[in-house]
Amino acid sequence: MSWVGLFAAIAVATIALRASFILGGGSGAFFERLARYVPVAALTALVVPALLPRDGEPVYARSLAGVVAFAVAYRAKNVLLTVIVGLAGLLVLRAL
Amino acid sequence: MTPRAVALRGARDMVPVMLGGIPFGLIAGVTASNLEMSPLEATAVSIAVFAGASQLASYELLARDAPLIVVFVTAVIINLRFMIYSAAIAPTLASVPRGKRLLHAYLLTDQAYALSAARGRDAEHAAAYYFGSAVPMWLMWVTTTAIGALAGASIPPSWNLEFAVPLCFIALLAPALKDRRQVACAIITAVAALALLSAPHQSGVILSVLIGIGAGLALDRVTT
Repeated sequence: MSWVGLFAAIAVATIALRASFILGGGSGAFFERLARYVPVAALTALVVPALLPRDGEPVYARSLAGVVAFAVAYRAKNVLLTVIVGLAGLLVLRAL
Repeated sequence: MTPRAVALRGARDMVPVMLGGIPFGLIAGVTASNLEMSPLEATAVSIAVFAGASQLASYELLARDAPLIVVFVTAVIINLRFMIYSAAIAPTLASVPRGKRLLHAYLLTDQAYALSAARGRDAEHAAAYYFGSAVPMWLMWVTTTAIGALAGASIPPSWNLEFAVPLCFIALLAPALKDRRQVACAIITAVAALALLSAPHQSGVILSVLIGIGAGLALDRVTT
């Protein structure tokens, strides 16, 4: 189980990040600016490769389902609705 | 109000907020079971890491056969935001005995931070309010990932449930785009991610994140 070490390392790093200032003290304006872009960049970088076509389905299926899901997420700000619309969209687009 | 009553109020305020996390927990459990982790292992990861976005990203990258170091660095980048929350909430928790502060830090989440920030850090017994709101979030996360992991094997592959992970990220991303510079950051990251698709060992994720963050910070300098 190589994952045990991986997730142990992620767990330790995560508690260190969470405890950094609670145990240490102080603050930084730079981190606040960083906070505006870290989630945006990280989420985008994870989403984009997942929208590429897989074998045996229309090339646009995942990207179109993703765009529709994005529109739903933007308007409704609802996770469950976004996931359901995206999955249903992919199901329909794959069947076309 | 007594600290205990304030903590209970925090717990009550968390209930509607944490409902939004339930799909993430279920999907994290299902995704872990797709990686052939046992329900016990999946639950152990949720307890140890207790950070949904980084867990989902880790599972996604492991499914794409990314090397462990790439998974680790990506998870740390995603969890960098806890450092900002930690800084913001530290004054609230200054009254907590040192020994208990690590537990308070462990329970720090987007939701607990947001509730505490919204309720005013100077309110009476703010530390108790934080703790009371943070605990239900933990219970919800651990329970839903366990349920997802147990149910995972019985979900038919034709549902393409693996696609739920990027959909969760889209659900987080869309409301996070609040101004033009953040939109520009997302577009530059997307272009970089496409250009770096064939970068070795899935390192394109890390490289495009760094490019996107750098672009955002550079835009701050140009426009302010």
